[in-house]
Amino acid sequence: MDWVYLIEVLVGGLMSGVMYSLVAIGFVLIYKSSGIFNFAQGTMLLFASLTFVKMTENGIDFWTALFIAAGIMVIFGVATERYVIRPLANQDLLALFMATVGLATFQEGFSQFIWDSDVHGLQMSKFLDIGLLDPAPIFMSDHIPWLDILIPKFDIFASLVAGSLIVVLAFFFQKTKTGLSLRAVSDDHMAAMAVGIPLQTVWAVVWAVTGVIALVAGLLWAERVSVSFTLIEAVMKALPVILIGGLTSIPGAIVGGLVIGVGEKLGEIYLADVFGGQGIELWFAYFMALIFLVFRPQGMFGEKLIERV
Amino acid sequence: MTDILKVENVTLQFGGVKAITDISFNVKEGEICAVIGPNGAGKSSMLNVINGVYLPQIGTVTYDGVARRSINPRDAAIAGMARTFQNIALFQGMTVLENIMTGRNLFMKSTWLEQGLNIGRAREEEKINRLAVEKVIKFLQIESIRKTPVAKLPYGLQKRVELGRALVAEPKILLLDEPMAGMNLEEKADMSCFILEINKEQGITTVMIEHDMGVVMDISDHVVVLDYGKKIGDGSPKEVMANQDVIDAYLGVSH
Repeated sequence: MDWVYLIEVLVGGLMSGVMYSLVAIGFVLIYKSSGIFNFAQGTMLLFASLTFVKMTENGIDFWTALFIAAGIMVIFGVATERYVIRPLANQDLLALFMATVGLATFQEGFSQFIWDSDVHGLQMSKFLDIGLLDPAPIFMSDHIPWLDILIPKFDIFASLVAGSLIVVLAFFFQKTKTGLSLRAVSDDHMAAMAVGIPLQTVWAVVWAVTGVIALVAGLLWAERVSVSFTLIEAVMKALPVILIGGLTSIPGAIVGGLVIGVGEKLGEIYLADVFGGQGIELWFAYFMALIFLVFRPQGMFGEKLIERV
Repeated sequence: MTDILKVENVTLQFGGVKAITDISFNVKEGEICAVIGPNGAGKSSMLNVINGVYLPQIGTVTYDGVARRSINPRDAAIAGMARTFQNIALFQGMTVLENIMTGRNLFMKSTWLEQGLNIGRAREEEKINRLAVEKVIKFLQIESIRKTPVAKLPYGLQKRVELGRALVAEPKILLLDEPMAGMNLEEKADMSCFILEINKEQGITTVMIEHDMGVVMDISDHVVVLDYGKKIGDGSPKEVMANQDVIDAYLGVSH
């Protein structure tokens, strides 16, 4: 066995895993706080990154565009809570799910209506002068003498960004009142209201935060697959991630993403002979999710529902 | 003493079912008022109307001098009402400490940035809130389970934690929905002591739903009896005990 190659594959897998995690966290946040599976997650990524790219194409500089796009996503999130979720509060969850399907359709059309439906390339190295954005890969052997592995620099950049965002989020949800409120709301709406937690404000914050995560995830993904409808498909990869990690767990989303990232890369490399050919990466994640569904339907970190009888 | 809570002509219907029919009663500031009655009498519904979980079709609830037909539970909390639930509504994913801390959320005024970085007002607030929480934990004698996830605790202790969460909000009035349900004698004695002490030492008005007649007669100042959604008795424990309607409701009556 070629150990260096294996390590290269593992590192590559972990790094794409972080990107899956980032998308998955968006799903988990909304599901945890309100029990809604947000079908519009993918279009949020598209809308956010398209907004950003169109602004930079029109000569707005990187940081201003990032700031404005984040602002738009926050406004969009708050408006979603106010005009889509709140009127449907206490309705059947299926109604809420359908509302997010509608939201997705709207967002898809709206993005094309105000921007366009072209494929836009995104190259962050054009805006940011960071060595890590240099397209040439990095040789780890520069730092670790006995290893000679090859890692794309952008992967390192992307996982650093995603990783720090995850740390900030973890901090936000552990240390602040809003975080405590969110965890309370996700456990028991009625009890949360009885201790005076503003349910609607918490929901608005969650949608706004999800919007900003969508922007960051959208930009990182766009650098790889360009800003177009393929972005929505990239999001679909987050589904097996949350099935494996558990829909209600943020650590689960992180670990699930890493498991999928590594799993599909390993599958692609080492199972190619078994299944005769390439393309294992495309379906292996879903296959893993299926296995989980059979043996551990609540996912690795999800809550098992126990009912008192 | 003045009435802190006045329930006037409240009727609550679910579709065609009348859960509460034209009920009025007053709760004096500083008293322990027990709401009793057979199963399905509308006791929990009454409590839910008071803190705004249910919106009654007719009637008003005057609390602290303000009359309204409905209040939402959050505003009720802001106005100083704290409550517990019949089927314990703790935050299952959190520890005892975190659960009780949520009861302090109305006292957290600093911004999330201050809290996240532990600077500015957040530092002082955190200190005050932690002190308040620790005081309640000590009072309820649950120091040893401070860091335990509540889902792991036995029923009796969960009820105690829920009381703690309500208490730490420094309420004017406590609404307790069957605080002693499912407890053994010893746990009931402890809980009775806590309720009495909260009432006598801190002067917090308490409205409590309870089935255990012994406890009710022992600790309450005022008893309201409901049956089939109607009020059939209202007065001191002694008066209520002697009330023929109440005896009939509890023991049955031959027709």
